[in-house]
Amino acid sequence: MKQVQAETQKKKQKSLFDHIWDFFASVKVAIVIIILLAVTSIIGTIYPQENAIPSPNPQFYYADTYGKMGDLYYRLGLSDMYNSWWFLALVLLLAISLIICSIERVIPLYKSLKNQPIARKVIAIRGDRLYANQSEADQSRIDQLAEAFKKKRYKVRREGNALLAEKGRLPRFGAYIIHIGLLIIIAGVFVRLIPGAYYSGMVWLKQGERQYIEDVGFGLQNNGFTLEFYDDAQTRVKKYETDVAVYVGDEEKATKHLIVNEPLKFNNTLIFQNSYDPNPMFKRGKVELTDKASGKSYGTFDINFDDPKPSYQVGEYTLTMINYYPDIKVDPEKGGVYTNSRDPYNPGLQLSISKPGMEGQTQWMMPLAPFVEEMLGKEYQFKLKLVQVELFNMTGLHLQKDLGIPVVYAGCAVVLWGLVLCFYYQHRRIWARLEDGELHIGANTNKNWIGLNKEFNKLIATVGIDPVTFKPKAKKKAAQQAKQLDTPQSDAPHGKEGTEK
Amino acid sequence: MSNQLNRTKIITILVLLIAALGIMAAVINFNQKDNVASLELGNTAPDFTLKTLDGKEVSLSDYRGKVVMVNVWASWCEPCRQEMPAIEQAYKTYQDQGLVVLGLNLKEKQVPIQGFADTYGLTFPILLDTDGKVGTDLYRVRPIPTTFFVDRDGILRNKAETPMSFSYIEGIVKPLLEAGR
Amino acid sequence: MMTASSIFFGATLVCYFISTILYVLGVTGRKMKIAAGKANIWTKWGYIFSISGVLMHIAAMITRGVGAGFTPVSNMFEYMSFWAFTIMLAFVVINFFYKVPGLGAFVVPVGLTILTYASVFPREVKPLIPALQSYWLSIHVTTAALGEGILTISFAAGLMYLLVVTDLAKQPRSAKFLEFIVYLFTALVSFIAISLSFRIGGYEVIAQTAEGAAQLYKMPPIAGPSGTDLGSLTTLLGVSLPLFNAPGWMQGTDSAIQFNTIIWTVLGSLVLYGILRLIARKPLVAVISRWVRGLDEEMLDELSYRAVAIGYPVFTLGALVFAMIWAQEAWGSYWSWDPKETWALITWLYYTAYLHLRLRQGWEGVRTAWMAVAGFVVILFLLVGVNLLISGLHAYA
Repeated sequence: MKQVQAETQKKKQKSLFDHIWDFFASVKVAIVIIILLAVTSIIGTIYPQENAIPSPNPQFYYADTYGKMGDLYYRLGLSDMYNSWWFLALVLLLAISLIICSIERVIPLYKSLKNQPIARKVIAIRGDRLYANQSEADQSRIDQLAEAFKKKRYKVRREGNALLAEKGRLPRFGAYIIHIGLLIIIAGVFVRLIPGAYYSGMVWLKQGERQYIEDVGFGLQNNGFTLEFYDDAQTRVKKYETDVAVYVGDEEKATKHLIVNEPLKFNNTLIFQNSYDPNPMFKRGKVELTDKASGKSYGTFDINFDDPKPSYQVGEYTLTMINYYPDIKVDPEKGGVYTNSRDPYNPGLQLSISKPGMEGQTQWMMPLAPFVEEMLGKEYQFKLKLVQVELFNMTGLHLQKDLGIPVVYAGCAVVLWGLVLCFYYQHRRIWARLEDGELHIGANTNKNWIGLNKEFNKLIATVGIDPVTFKPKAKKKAAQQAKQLDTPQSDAPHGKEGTEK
Repeated sequence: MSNQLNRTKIITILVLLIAALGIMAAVINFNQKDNVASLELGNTAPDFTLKTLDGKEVSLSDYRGKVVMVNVWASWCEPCRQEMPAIEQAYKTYQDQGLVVLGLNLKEKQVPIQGFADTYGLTFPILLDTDGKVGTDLYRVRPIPTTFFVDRDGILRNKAETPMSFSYIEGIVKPLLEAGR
Repeated sequence: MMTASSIFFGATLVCYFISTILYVLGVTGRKMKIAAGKANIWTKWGYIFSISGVLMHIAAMITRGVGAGFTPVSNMFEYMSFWAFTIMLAFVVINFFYKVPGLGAFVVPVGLTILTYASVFPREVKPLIPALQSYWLSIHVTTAALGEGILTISFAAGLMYLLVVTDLAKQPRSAKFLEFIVYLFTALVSFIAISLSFRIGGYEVIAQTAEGAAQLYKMPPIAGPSGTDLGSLTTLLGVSLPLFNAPGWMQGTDSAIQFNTIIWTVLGSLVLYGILRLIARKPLVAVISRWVRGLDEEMLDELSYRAVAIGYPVFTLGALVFAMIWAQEAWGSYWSWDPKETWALITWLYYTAYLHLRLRQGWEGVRTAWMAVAGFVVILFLLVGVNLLISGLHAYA
């Protein structure tokens, strides 16, 4: 950084843009942004975010569940923090910092590696941490070394009596490859902003139901849902699966037996088996009408609980629906009844039973509340018994269309590649120079000196030099001085590897 | 040389900042997508045709010249049940002066609706919006009950997203009834 | 198979325990004074027991996996056990290359503690719910744990570095911080010991308040849910509990229980720390810093950094990339800001900052060593704290 500042100070005045540039090019600023992101992310994990709460009304949920602190959390907008403008701004600041930091350093690094001198001063080679020499040598030694280096897959360049062998220059750029990967990931996340590139939604389907989802341009039909448990008490789910069909218009385009973790892909949209409604619904049933006292059966009728008919005929009896509550609840305060939802989870039927010559008798039927029925039904003449019933659970399918996913995955791959280059590979350079009949060989790497040392010893053995060991890192002040003296070693003014062993 | 470098820097910074602002605007817009713009008051109320509980076909435009109150409801919704007596009372009171109430039921089935209408003694026409085409899609109703008030010229004049009391309805309907004369 | 697994698991615990004792004896023993920083008979055998422990651990996991029919990383017991395994594995491998005998005296107790903590959780094999029936899950969890295990080595080496370079007499502030780290370790140990003993005893008390739901206490309720009558719940050794109630603003579902657990942990750790302090008759850090005498500080600094350099890419792969792929497969969204996910990102950002400070800002030695030590606290929160204090999608187990 200091050098950059020194450079810019030479130009009489710094413009606003220079200030902005320097701000984003600073590693300190980048670290501050990273830490700010980490710290603010913590805040968002104190209470669940709005997308994870089991309630559609966050304005009440936080206050009810977490008290005053929860209410404050909601009011400050922390309950949807990761979508807030300021968090987004932090992410974008990080992206800009990634770009400018990389530009600022990649270009000088690239230039210096490209223009590095082949012939280094002997005094510099002597200063290398790994150094060997041989007196009474001649040009043929350099030729031998060049051969040996080539065998070890070094790139060898020569200039007169000097030689530079280099291996693994790309790992020097590992950090910037990581940065590019991260930028690709961020770009992939923002792909969803393109109209039509993103859709996410839940579809709840009853048995046989078909729904058309406009945003993705097709409809889904539930052709059957199965639910299995590991135990009889039904506490631990084993699997839940839906036979799903995709429709465009009235034409069936695709079908799949959909299971968790294995989505169906259609039209760039993934259809996931996400969940199911744990409360089963009534579909169809057969109801038997009997005389309560004698138990004599008058016959049966079939009922569709989702859409019952206004009246049914059993033998000579007519059963007229006075009231039908698909999901009956009793109001404990007013004593009235009402339906809790539009779907037949807990049907309650109020029927009038009559036959020619007999006045209608009003009677309730509640298959899931036999006690209530019993209580009300002491005076009943008839008994209505559900003899057969078909229940089903609604299946919950999650639709996800995100054209950014491949971009994000590609970014991840680039990041991993960069990480491997950065941490598991190294840049090795070996210089050789013949001066006054003495051969000097010096080596440098950005990491793994032990490995380089082994290779170095094998290489110099080919010209008959005894093994050497690398010098320990010079301590603090001495090291800094050495760096300033020895320019080729710190060829990138901000080369991160400079501080590494 | 250094001038050129400077220009490159300036362009880079400008491009990045503009891109960042663009993305921010797009994201904020993206997150607000859910709040679809509701119907604007002062425009003609969109026309629709639906079946009533009695099996007749009814259009909003049939009632041009009258003040129409479109109440979107369902029997499972508690506030809807609360306001029903008030709506019925308002209908009975102002029917002669040209008030029409259309009870637009959202996605329920005939038999339970009939039972509900009988229980509450509703006399105004009840329309069956079986798939939500009118209530949810055309009128973009989010919470129920929601009530729309249409004046004698078919203009949408008011909208209530709360359960209403008789006096509340009166406060809106009376001026509309008087305005037309 | 399950019986075999239990036996192997017990053998693993024994091996790690013996290894811990051997290492501690090795670094405190008389021979240490003669050959500073060199391996002796004690640490050699400690290393051998570590290796056999790791082998037993592998056997325990394989038998459990075969018996259950899936990779055993599906609940807290299995996961914590696996983390202990990765710590020990990383230690065994790194120690092979670096040969720092003292390292074992710091890492093995951590591994042992984590493994003991695993035993706090119910051990029965539960069949997998559908969302967990994915091979990506095993890949994600094992890789993430491996990264976390390697990063744990960085913590141990960083701590050793700090003990070597800190002159306890002349740097009282650093000495206090280090003592606090030691205290935190006693807190962890006492938390585990208390949870384990009450669990073995099968202790349970149900607290029912007027408005709230019933709360199941697994430790004696020193602090009851807000609104409970004092002393109404139970008695422990003749004392009526609760002594006081959780403050009213703690309204989370389990916050009173968590509050109670924290009180127990603080009390337990103070007792444990007090006893150790009485035995030692000086700050514990003064005792422990003797264990590292004669070690090369630069080598420890390098080791601490190197562990991050190896662990960070593995952590990125396992805890972020594989996690994203699995989330995409199972939930249809590669990122949903679930607390566990977010904490993995926070951990990653933390180590990213560490690497930039070290490699670009020239931070070395004491400052990065403190960061490595604090990093372990972050990881501990990611793995234990999030599950105890925050619930999210990962709360299956």
